[in-house]
Amino acid sequence: MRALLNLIQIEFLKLRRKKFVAGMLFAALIMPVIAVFYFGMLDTKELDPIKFYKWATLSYTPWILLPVVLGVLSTLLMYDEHQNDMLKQLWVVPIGKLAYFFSKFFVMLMYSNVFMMISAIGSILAGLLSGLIPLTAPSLLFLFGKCLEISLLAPAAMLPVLALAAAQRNYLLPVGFTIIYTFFGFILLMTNMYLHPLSAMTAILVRNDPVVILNEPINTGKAFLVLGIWSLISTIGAGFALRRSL
Amino acid sequence: MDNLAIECRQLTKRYDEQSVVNQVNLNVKREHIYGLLGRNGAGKTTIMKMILGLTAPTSGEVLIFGMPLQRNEKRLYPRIGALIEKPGFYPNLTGTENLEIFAKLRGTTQSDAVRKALDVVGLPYQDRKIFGQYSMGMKQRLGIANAILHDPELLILDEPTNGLDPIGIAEMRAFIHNMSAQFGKTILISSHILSEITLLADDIGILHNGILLEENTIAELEKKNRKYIQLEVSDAAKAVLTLEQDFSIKDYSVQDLHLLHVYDTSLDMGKINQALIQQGITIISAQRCNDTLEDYFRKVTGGEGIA
Amino acid sequence: MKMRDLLWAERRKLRRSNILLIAFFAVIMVAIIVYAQGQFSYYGKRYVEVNEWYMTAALSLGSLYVLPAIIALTGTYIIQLEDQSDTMKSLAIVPVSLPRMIRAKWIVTAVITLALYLILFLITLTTEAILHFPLLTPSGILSFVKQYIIQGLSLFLAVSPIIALAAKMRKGYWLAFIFAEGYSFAALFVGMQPTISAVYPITAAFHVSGYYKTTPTQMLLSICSLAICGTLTVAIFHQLKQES
Repeated sequence: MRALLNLIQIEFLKLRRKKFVAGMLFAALIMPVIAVFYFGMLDTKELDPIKFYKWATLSYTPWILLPVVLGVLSTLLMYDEHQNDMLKQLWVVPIGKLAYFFSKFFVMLMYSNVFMMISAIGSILAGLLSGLIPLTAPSLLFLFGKCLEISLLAPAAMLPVLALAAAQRNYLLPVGFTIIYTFFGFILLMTNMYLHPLSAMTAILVRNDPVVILNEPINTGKAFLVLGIWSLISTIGAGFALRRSL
Repeated sequence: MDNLAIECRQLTKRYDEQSVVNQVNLNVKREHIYGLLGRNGAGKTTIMKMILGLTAPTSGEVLIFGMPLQRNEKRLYPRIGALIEKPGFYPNLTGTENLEIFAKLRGTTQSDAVRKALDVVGLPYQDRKIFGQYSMGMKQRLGIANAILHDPELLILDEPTNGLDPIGIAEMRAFIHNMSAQFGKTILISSHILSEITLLADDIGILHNGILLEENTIAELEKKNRKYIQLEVSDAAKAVLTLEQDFSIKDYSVQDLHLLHVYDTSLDMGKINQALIQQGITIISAQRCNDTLEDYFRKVTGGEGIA
Repeated sequence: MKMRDLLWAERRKLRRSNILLIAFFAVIMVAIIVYAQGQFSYYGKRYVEVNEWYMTAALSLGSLYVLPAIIALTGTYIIQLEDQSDTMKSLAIVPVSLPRMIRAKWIVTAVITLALYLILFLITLTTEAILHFPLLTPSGILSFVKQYIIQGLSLFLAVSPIIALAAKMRKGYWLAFIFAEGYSFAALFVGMQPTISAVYPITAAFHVSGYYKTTPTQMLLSICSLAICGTLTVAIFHQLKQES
């Protein structure tokens, strides 16, 4: 456990001077800004803060923006070490292949947490400063609760990309795959939520939402099972890929 | 001068406040092999890059075949072949495919130029191996092949033996020698290994901390690498007189009031001692010395040495 | 140096590189994913059962979510090949002119974009033919070809400034990818306001291709917007020339 903690700490050290990693956090503010224009244009009176937050932080951000950002991040996390042929040096330290993989996953977890917090705070500020919504305790609780859920589930849903990045020396395939993977997850929201980890994540997120009306009630167990199966497959796949990386 | 292939005048490169190359006057004669010797970080690569126009000098100028490179790129570049630092090639292509790209872009008309160049460096033609899988030595060879692909008059090779095994180094040496002796190419080669330069070069430039400490022919430098007898005496002037009169010695040098070097090492030390004592000269020490080039370099670089 | 030789070299450099394969895979996946979406029933009728729905949806969804990022990825990859492989120093002493080489890369990216759109067209057309052959008309097919080609080229112009900016920055390809995705994604919302949608380059591409119903003024605005993108790209390339 201590070794894993060390590894995680090292992962963060490796991100030093990578301005781009911090820069990607700006993507968290895209939807809050668009939301102001969107609701401003609609001219709705007495907008429900929860409705605003759902739009500004809890829809396209976890459906598209966060997955794309996490996909690129996971590629970045693996790319440099592949590129500089550093893996062989790490294996002789020795560092466990799975511990290595999980340390990267933990960075994604932390990163998505920061990302969602920025998005949440951005939404609150955007809503308040534009005068669109009042500040209410239940809505804040709802927003931060959902953000926390997203920040925990999204990295798990993006594990297949991290595994692919672990298996590839080049950045092209994992980055290209990120976009297709995200798009697929997004489109499947409408047809079948229990195939793709990202749509399964959305199923979990909207489980108690009275506004979302679906053909059949949401089966959270099934959604977790889908997420779990894909995570397991990804982890095993990454383990094999890293073992073969020499 | 007409017989110069490269002429650097007061060439200087500064990054921020740090001076990497400082007022270097470097002259490479046509059809000569010029060895630029210096430790890692001495500024060898920077000088070569400035010569090639890959980095702009802070001040000073470079003439190649009597012309500045700027505005003469189309005329001069085809006459130059170069290998700078690690050779860069497209990793997804084979050696042949990489060279074909360069041949095409150079407008090489000779259809077998690529095959010939690969032949010279001992790499297979139309091999399936892609550059990304090359060993360091193979990469270096491909870099050389690219440098000679268009049969240039001037070759600029930055540490060409880097990454080669001992046999590879010997082959590279033979290759460079051959290029000069047989094809009359002018070659500027850099190295941090003294023996490599002395084995190959006609002329040598010693670079240290960005300053060209010495530029000379190897033959001239070897004179400084002579065996001699060092005499430390009470009166060097008086001793010289005795040596000239009694032993007809002409080849000597006076280092200071008490120290002199006699270059005829076949002399009988016993007789010299006797003669000097008879003249009332006290001999403090007498020893046979052998200055190597390495000692010399250590001296000119202020004790740090080269290799 | 002839442009033809530069274009030949650019094509050669892409051998064994999987960028073309990845771009091709992305297009196939767009076709598959949109088909999957077509299984969604609306009042008892699946989307794909509606004539021409598939060809229209593949064009719009692909152009909004996937293809701009893929074009940016391809373009920046091609432009940064020399940086990645450290070949610029060898090319500089050939001498190869950097601006001309970059122009060649730009053309190659345009050709790839066009090819991707044509592949998508062929896949969707074949599917559409299987689904509702009797409803296909030559004029309908022709209008779709035109739409796909113009959409592809317009989108290429819309994304070009991002590729050019990435060429200016070292390692700009990560940024270009994320930026292109955000840029095309924002079009979802920009499209709601008619004038902005005519000006915003991604949605302008939809106006020019005829996907959106467009007034002459909007068409003019869109053409101008895309022309500005092209000019901006050339200007950035020109700056590169001065820097080199």
